[in-house]
Amino acid sequence: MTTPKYARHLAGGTVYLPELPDTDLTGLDGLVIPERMHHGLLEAGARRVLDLLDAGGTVPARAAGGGRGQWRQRA
Amino acid sequence: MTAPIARLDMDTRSPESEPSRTDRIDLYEVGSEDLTRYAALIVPAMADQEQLARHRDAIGDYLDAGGVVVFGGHLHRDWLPGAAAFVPLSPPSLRGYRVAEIAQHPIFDGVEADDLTFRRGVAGFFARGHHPVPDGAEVLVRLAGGEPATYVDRVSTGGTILVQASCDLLGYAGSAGGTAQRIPDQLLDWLRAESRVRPADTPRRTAAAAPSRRCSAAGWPRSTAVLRRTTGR
Repeated sequence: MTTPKYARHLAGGTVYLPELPDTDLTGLDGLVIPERMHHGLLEAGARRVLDLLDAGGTVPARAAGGGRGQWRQRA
Repeated sequence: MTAPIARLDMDTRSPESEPSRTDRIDLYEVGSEDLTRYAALIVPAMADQEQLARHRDAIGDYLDAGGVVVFGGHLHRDWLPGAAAFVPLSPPSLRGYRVAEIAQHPIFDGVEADDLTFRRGVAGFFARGHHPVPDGAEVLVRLAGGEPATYVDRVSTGGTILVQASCDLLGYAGSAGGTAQRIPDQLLDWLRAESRVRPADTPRRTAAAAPSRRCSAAGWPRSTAVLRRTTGR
């Protein structure tokens, strides 16, 4: 994702999943959630994802990366 | 009583889908787990290597206590003693992916080279490159170009490290592998025999410390910041 082929589409950079709860996403247009994300950590950062969605952001999520968390219940 | 074997888990599957032959340790609890409870640790390809790098001292202590660590995947962070970053085959080719040599070893006893090379008729699952071998390590499997796909390192630490390029050797359970189906059981038996860890051998680390051994080896990238875990794929 950091190679030029992909990075030019991801101007907001990447977020390390364990640091998601402490990362303000609301300035971004969207957040891509790949598959095979750690369910517990994703749940821990759900508030940030919900804030982004409430701010009008777009969140494409791979099915297997979504876990069982609270943010998925809005999907 | 034999100590259990643990698999560092990324919490990406339902508990029902997990094989029961190993215990599960949440990868993000490595810094607070007493690893010496386990005869061996299996680290899957999709493990977050940034997390492992942050706890490399705990892994090193576990190995120095006589533990066994198995990694199958693509190393791209400096967390495994003696190991170097994965080198992909370039250009990738069927000829290059072919397994050419299998050493006499309990893990691969009775396993045919073609059953490692091909999985459901497709090559490249077993190894798509190699990890440079530490001095004194034992190469178990080589690809057609001589690249070491699998090695055992009893030199870099007081324990044993098994490194497999690209794949998780436990993944050969099931009907798709032909003679390679023998590997998971043979691997687990070998791990139990190989381990010398005793629970009281080493002090327990509990702090989630930043890496204290710097990533000094050439070729190791520094940590960087879509949502990600830092796996080798």
